[in-house]
Amino acid sequence: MWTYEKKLQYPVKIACPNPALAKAIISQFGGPDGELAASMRYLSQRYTMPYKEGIATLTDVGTEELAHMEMICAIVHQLTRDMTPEEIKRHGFAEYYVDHTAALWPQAAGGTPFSATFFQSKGDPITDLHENMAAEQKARTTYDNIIRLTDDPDVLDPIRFLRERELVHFQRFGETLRIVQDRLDSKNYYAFNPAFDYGKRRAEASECRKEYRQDNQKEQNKEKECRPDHQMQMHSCDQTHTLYFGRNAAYDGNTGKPLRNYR
Amino acid sequence: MSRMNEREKLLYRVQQFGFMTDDIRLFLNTHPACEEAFCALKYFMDAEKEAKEDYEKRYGALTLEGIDGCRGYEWIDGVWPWEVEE
Repeated sequence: MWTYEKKLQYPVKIACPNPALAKAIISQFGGPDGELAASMRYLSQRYTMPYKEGIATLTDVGTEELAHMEMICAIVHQLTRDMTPEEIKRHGFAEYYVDHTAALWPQAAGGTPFSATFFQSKGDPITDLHENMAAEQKARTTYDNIIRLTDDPDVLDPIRFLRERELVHFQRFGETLRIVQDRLDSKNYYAFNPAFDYGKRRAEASECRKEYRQDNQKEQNKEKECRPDHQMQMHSCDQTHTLYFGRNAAYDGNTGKPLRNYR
Repeated sequence: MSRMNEREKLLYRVQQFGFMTDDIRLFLNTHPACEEAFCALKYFMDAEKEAKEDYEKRYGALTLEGIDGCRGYEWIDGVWPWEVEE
């Protein structure tokens, strides 16, 4: 669960409203590289992360992104306060105003609504961590772009803070990736999904999953019957690659019998 | 910093120490054996707790735990984080 603290992670206090600038900055709320997507990305990915360091990092960074979303919303809110209809028209804010008045609604700067397609939760920690490192860089670039659009120190100060956090998160995800790669099964040369294939092997070894194992065996026998070329059989990924790369076939290609000294 | 009122200055201390604990915690997640970082975490957690109590005494609860029994239910009062005091 989560609890709320009645404070921002870093102060936001903007003296001069600027609806045109708010329209650009709102992208870091609901845009493709925004804080909402970042938070949902990490908090969705953590359930299939197999290592405790990774789970903690995804949980804490995902939580911090919620605090960043709140800072972005505070910036947009303060930039759009006390607007007159004339200011709304002059600052090009009419398209947003007509649907949302001065409320916060997650959209990209160009008006595209927030979408879960902005992030991926792939169930492979190596894939997910590469996605996360790329996402932190994309968010950093977006903050760079925002910094070029304004010289208001009240806006630049919190935006620079948020930009720096992207760098720190990139660093932490890089370390997490190293930890995950260090722990790969030494036989898993090609870094196949350690979350899924590991789970499958564990399920096969477990007493309480006998049924699963028997069903699996039946399936494999069926496959053997209709496909005499046993070298094509699919097993867990790291087994498959030994077949594909001809290093050490699990089944004898001529007799179809399992090799005793396999690995 | 210069435009901060008294309330904001006290809150800024909470934010500073809170940020230190957030940042060190992230570091410890990938370096759990680092004793120096763990000592720093404990130091800044204490500092944050103290700063929170200082703030809450004068300006009301930051979390539900910060509610002062004698002052009643003050959670809905006070300035919300995104509001600008005039």
